[in-house]
Amino acid sequence: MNLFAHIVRRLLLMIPMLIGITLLLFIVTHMVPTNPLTVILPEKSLNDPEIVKAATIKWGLDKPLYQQYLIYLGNLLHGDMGVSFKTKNPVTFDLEQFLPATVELSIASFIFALLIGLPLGIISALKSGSIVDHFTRVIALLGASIPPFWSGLIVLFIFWFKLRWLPGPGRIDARMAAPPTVTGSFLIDSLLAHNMPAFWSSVTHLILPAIILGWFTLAITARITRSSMLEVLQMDYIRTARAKGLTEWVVVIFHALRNALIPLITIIGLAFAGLMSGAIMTETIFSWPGIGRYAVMAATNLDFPAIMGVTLLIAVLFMFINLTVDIIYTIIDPRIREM
Amino acid sequence: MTEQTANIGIPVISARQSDSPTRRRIRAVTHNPMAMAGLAIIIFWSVVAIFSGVIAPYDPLAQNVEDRLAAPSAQHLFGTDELGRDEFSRVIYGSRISLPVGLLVIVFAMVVGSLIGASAGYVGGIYDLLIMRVADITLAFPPIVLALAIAAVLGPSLNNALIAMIVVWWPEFSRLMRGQVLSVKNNEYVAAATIIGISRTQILFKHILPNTFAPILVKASLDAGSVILTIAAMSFIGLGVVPPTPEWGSMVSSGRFVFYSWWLTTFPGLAIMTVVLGFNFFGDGVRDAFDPRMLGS
Repeated sequence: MNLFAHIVRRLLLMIPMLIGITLLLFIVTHMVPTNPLTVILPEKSLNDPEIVKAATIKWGLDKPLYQQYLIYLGNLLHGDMGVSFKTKNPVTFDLEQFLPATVELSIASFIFALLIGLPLGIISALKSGSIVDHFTRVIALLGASIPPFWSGLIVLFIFWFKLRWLPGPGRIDARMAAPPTVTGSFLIDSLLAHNMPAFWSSVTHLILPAIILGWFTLAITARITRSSMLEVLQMDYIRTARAKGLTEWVVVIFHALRNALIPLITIIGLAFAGLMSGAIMTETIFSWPGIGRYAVMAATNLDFPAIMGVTLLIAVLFMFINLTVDIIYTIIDPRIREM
Repeated sequence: MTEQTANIGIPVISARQSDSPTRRRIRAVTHNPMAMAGLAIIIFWSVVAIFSGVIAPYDPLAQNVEDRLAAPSAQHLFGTDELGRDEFSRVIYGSRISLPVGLLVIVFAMVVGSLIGASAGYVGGIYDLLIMRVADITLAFPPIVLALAIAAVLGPSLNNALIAMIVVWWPEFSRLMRGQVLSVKNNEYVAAATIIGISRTQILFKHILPNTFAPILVKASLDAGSVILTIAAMSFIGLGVVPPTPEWGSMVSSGRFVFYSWWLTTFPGLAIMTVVLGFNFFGDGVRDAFDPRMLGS
């Protein structure tokens, strides 16, 4: 089957990409002037040749670079990304702990972006040049211009520090125990445990970071929806639908929007890159225990295995999201398969 | 033009065909209020950067512990920070970092990326294949994630942040330039130049490159805002400009631990936002001018 062959081909093409990504990361983390031993060992032990030797052997630091890479690649195939210098846990374990928080935050911010961005985009296309249209344009431009690390602090200052409407940083009230882990999502897990106070606390903690993180996605959603709606509304079949005497909202929702949404799918990949960059800043501001914060911790601590692990995870996620988007697009628009 | 001419399919631009395309584009930019507002903001901050020494009332590094964390007043317009330094002067001097650094990164990424992309497109073969795979791999990472890893490995400093940003930003220019060169390469005037015996390097620099600049410049003006934002973000994390140098991102960062002193985060953040907004307004205007499909939409 044509579609199946297309998917298999795309999957096979990912293998050289994955090798390239690991190689690039390996080169980056090993071309350093910094001696990684200074990070593995406490300062006092650096003068002790015995400890230095043991650590060098343990991390394979005495072997030639290409061997170190092969060791790394071999371990990677077994799901072993090494042990974090800082947390002393296997990086894979750390990432498993930190990923669910990011997923929960990303989904919440995506829902926020679509809930606000879609209607804004539709209205500004229908009423092109109106106040709503200008407002949407400003919102979109601000979304690309406001540093999330700053807007995060500002909303925290207003809604937490001053007004006390919403809780401060973190995933859940500090006095509450986290719900027992089933899915890793605090919302779902607290519901499964029938713990309503924990659920409510998690929801309120999610609001501010989701808005800050979702703003960028909102901006692109609104802009793409607007331009694609404008294009679709000029099509002959819209004129036909109107000529049939259908009411305007039926034409807009059932005839125009359905087709206008197709290009929106492609932005999911783009939005994901935005979410990841945003997550790094947003999670730092809101003390959100996700992989964005983990990446910052790893980078500022020169925690090489952790840097490689988290960057690799993000790159691989990015690739798979783009692949999924590509496949969905191929299913919706079969013309692409022939290209 | 009348509506009738538009309807029968005569190109809308017919009325203006006496103008050169470049002139028409420049006019599209200068007649775009948002682009001009953006340019005004950029010029404003450039003036501030050049005359920092004159505008700033205090030395941005001078500490005055007795006057620490003072709220904004007539004496200290934006208040003072945790070491008693004048926040207004620090914001003013901060423009000397963000603007030149942002432009430096974008110009370097543009020049390096374009040269690599142009050579790949022109030479072709294995060389092209290799270069483009390296570009693909680099683009597989969200920019700030890879920049973070590189800057961390090189060590926190402005120079290293610059290197990291250029490494992350060149591939998109390369891809764009390669596509441009490939589309220009097969034009007849290039074939003519080859026939009369002009060298390959000369053809590339004299006949191909001048015809590929427009989209590259559009991309550069669109990206300038994101570059400045990313550098501020890296300084915020602690992997860019290091204290005590007044840089907006690191100023927001040091202000976040003294929450009640709202002025320490507010003003440098506003500075970042206005500069980035200026570049985004301007970049949007330039993009619209060069992409006729966007005109009037």
